[in-house]
Amino acid sequence: MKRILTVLGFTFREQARKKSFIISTVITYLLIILVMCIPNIVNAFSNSSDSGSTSGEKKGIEKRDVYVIDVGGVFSGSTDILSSASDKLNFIFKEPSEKSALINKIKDNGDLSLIELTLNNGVPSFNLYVKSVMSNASSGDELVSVVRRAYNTKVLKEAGVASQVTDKVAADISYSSIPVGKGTIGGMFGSFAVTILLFFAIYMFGYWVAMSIASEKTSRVMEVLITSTKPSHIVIGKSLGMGLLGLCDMLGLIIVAAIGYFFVYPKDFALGGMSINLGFSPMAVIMMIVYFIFGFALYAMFNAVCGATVSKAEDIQQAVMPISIISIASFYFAYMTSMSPESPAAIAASLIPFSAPFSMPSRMVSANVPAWQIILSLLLLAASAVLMCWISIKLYSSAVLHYGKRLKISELVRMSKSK
Amino acid sequence: MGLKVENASKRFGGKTVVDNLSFELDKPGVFGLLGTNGAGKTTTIRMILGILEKDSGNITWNGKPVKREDVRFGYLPEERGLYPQIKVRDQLLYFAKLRGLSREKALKNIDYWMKRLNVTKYYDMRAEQLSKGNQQKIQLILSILHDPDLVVLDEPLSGLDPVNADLFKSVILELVEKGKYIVMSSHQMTSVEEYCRDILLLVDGKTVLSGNLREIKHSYGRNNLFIGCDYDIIPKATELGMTLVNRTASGFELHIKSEESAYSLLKYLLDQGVAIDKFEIREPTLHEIFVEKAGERK
Repeated sequence: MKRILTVLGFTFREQARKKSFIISTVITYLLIILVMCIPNIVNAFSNSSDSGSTSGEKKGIEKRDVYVIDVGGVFSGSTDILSSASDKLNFIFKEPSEKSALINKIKDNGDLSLIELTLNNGVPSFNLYVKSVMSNASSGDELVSVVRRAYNTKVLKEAGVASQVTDKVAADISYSSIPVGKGTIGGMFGSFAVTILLFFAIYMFGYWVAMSIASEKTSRVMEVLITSTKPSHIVIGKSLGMGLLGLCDMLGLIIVAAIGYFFVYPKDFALGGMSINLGFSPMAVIMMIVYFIFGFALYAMFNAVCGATVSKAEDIQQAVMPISIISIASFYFAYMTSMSPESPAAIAASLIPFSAPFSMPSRMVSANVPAWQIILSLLLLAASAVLMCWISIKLYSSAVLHYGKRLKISELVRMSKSK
Repeated sequence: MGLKVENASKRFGGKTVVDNLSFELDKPGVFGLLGTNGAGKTTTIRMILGILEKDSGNITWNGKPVKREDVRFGYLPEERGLYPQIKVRDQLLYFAKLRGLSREKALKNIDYWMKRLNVTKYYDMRAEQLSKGNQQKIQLILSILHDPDLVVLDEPLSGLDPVNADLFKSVILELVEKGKYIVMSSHQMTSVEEYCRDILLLVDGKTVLSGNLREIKHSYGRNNLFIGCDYDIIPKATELGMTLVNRTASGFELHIKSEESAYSLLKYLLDQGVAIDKFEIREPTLHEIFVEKAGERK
């Protein structure tokens, strides 16, 4: 145990002193703060555009033009009703003969649109012409709302209803969305962030385990090391050291993110009327740490073997290719399923040991996960990590003294049997 | 007390790398493990140190199987290695702790050996900033700073200048005086002759010569003659039944059948008034025995 702690301390200290580690940590922290500032930037832009439109109206800033060809005579005799139904759209009535010319105009200008109004059984309908579905022109939903209000007003007026009543009917209704469950857009953002954070932490610190072992082989210090203590002490101590550093790094990141969340992130931040509450609870943070520990253990042991199979640190990329493929596939599986956190695929992703560290903590942020799933997932992950640790120690001690071409898995297994 | 290797063998795939190897180091001193390149010396050392499992045989230290946990051994591998970007002090402390030393004891021992090998000024420097010779000194310290009972030195003198080679030799002699058991592999036969009481010569994993070095040399007899002179002695030497081994800038190396023939040649040369710088009848050197034995097998 004492020797494991010695390896742990040495690995932790030397990795933490490396410039590459310090720089990447500082950049990550700055990025986190920047991400936390994004809502303020969005708010600042939206406030300035709001104030711009208010003063803009006064200054006569152009509204978006919508050409109207009223084939069905929906607004015949009262075109002003449609024109006054929206303060953002400028309706310009045209003759049917001008349709081709207008369509050509729209082809050149994405801000323009054309509606061709007809009446079906006394109910208005229209064809909407826009440059493309991605253009800046008015949306169909927006136009339906405006046309409906204007038409209702016209019908009511024709029926002799008082203007106080028609004005109330024509008024725009404002709303705000107040989510009460976990299935919020903010929860989804939080869940993406957790998946990405855990993936990078586990992948990067696991990779450093492989790199550290490969460097010891390159510098030929391995032979002295392996005679100084047991291979199991080296593998476990090194993985624990790197894992502890990863944990400290992640805790630092969580602290920076929490500070940013409490001091920089606006509490009332909303997009499209939906509040963006990131959905982190202390339990979710604890589970992130727990899954990091087990997930890192699983991947670090795998990395240790790969690091031991090469003679030069330059070959490490090739050696860790199997881990990269497994971890990236697992990450994407977790990432895709995080969009529907209660689907069977998401449940599978959070139970499979390789994807569980990326999937389960993210699901816990965006959905209510049953306790049995969490327990089963942790048991499977822990069992896999222990099994991988056993295999890793066995293969590592056979591989570390091999120099020359990179070892294949079959050679590695044969060597471990003959050792 | 001591190291005992009995019938140790190791195979890799279908190839036997070490075949039925036996030797014993039963009192403090230096044991020379010799062999051509690829003869199986490093594999033997790795089996002794327990980092490679033997396929058969027994290797014991004080009658017990060799285990890293039970034996305090030091190892200087042939392929030198240090952490290039880590300070000398930090890595020496790390290895001392791994070998069970307390921080205080480790610092005391490091201080002693750093002074002994004249490398104190490199204490706070990174290993990559040191010359190859100085790195080798740090490695030697690294292998002995925990005061091991058994020290395995694989080619300890290779790449050293004469001054540092003498320094290393003095350290090895100090270790012998302190009662350490040393297994040394080397290609420098003069060094082996200087220290080794017993030797073992490996060729292709097989033992071709083993035992007390002095006895081995005695068994060959005083069959070598060196005469240092400028005169062409070859015709007379051939007439007396001698074989020319080598002609050097300073004289002639000859193989003789009897000491009498050597004295006959000396008398002849003196009668001729030849100025003789050196006349030596001697046993074969270890180098000559090595070349002969290794050559026979090849």
